Amino acid sequence: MAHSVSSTVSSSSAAPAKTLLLPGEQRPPDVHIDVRTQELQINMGPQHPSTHGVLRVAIWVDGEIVTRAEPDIGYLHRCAEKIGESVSCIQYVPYTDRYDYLAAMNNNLGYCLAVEKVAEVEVPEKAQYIRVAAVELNRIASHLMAVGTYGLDLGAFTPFFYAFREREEILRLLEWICGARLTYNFIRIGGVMRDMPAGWVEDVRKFLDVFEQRLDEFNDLLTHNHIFVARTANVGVISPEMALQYGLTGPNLRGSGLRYDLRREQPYLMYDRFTFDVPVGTGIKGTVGDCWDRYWVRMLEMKESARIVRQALDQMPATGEIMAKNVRHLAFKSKAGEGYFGIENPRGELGYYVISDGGANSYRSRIRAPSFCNLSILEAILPGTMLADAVAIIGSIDIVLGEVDR
Amino acid sequence: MTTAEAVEQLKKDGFGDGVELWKGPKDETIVVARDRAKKLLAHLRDGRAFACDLLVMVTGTHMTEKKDAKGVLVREAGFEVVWHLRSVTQHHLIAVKCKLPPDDPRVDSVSDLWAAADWHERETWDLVGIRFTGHPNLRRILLPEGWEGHPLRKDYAYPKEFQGINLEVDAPWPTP
Repeated sequence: MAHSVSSTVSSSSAAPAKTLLLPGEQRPPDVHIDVRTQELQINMGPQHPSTHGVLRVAIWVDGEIVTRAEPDIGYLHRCAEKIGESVSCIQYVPYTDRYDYLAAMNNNLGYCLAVEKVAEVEVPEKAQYIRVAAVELNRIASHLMAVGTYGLDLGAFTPFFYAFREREEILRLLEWICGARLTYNFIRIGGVMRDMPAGWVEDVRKFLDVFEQRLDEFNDLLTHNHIFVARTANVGVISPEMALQYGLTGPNLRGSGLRYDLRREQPYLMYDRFTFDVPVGTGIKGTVGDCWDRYWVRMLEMKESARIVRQALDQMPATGEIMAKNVRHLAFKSKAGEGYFGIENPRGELGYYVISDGGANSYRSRIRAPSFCNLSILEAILPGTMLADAVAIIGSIDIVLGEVDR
Repeated sequence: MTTAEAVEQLKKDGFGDGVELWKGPKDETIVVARDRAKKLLAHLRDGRAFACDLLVMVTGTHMTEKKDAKGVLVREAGFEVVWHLRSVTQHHLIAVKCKLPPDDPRVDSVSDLWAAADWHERETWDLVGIRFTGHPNLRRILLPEGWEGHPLRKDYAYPKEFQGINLEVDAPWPTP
């Protein structure tokens, strides 16, 4: 491909007033530069600071424009579904933490809800409220990670630390309740692992009281920053039809304007008892469905999650069981049957399809990972963008390779 | 719309005896024969009463034969493909199931109906070995190219070595 760039100096008499010529020097001759570009295949990943994990995107570029992109996954494949058939349902819960390791409570929850559906286990009310509090706190932590590292991808180093300051506080609270910072194994089949320790509720409320101001601080740093807006507005626009075709869910779908949230569609846990809004992208800074909209939906969702946690802590009964009575942990047997349960993960619809034949192990446990489906849109959306925009788009989809590859 | 109502509507729409309702447990599922599966799924996507515009996932399972204590067949040998569909406008979730024979696991691809099916079908081919006819790019997605076998089959034998690396668990450490 040949691009002819010719730089000609105008030879008319309307020359600029000041020409940098020494006395007696002649004007240099006209220069023609012939620039030829070739299509070049480069690898983005699997080791790359901006791909959020071991993702390889084979990109074919012509100059600066991407002509073809092919995500190549499987670097983190850990045989999750095969293990689901080899260990018992109770033993499988810690494995579920490790798929979307940034929102591990949600992973635990999805699996436990699916197994509880098939085995017909009734979870006590207090356990459900504790589950909601844990899951929404984890949603805030996950979104903080997403927006912090998104700024980092685009070169904004400071907001990352502000996001992580809040995230550290949440991780401290979650470590207090279950002992682990990232892979909790807290939500078990039939309830939760243990009751909230004394003082936990007060500390959560203290955190929520300062959280909104901290979000405003973050907004001042990143959200309305000219450079950030220039790099994300009108970039990677996904129309709602395309989003539905590619199976996008969660903030990616809501960023394109569709108000679809599983917490509203099929309220699980106690979500029908809470008041919260479902934010959608409206194209304030650019077009509906651009990267900025997806980022803004995540920011607004954090505020809504804080509201939900407050309501959950207010409505929680003071006393109650935290584990179902008829779950015998050392000899848990599910009932024969199959069931699908989808929940709203921070990244989209996380679903577990469990087929059980009445034994301790499930016959098949298939995980519908939201990042797996969200990632498939890259093939369609990257061609035509510039290479720097590719980084912005991949970051705005917010993938976690643990659940893409399982 | 519940699945039972969906089956009633489908029978009226011309599918007649080609669709059946499986009552679970736990999830009610529409069971369809292999040769009418794609037609049914297209109707579920385009029919105004169903409007299933979001393909949630495609699952493949390898089923082995199972008889209960009295010798009655509880589970047939073969493969099963389940499509889960959601509708954003009609607010429902519909599961469609299709049983495939054990020696010929083929079914039509729906990647031209929903682009999301592309990767789901590649993963099902990769791990379970169900071939989706008409898929534009059916190759391995999670496992490396050159991997032999389909791991999620119940009769999968773990390979002894891959590309020169010894994979046996009890093999002695290689001498330096």
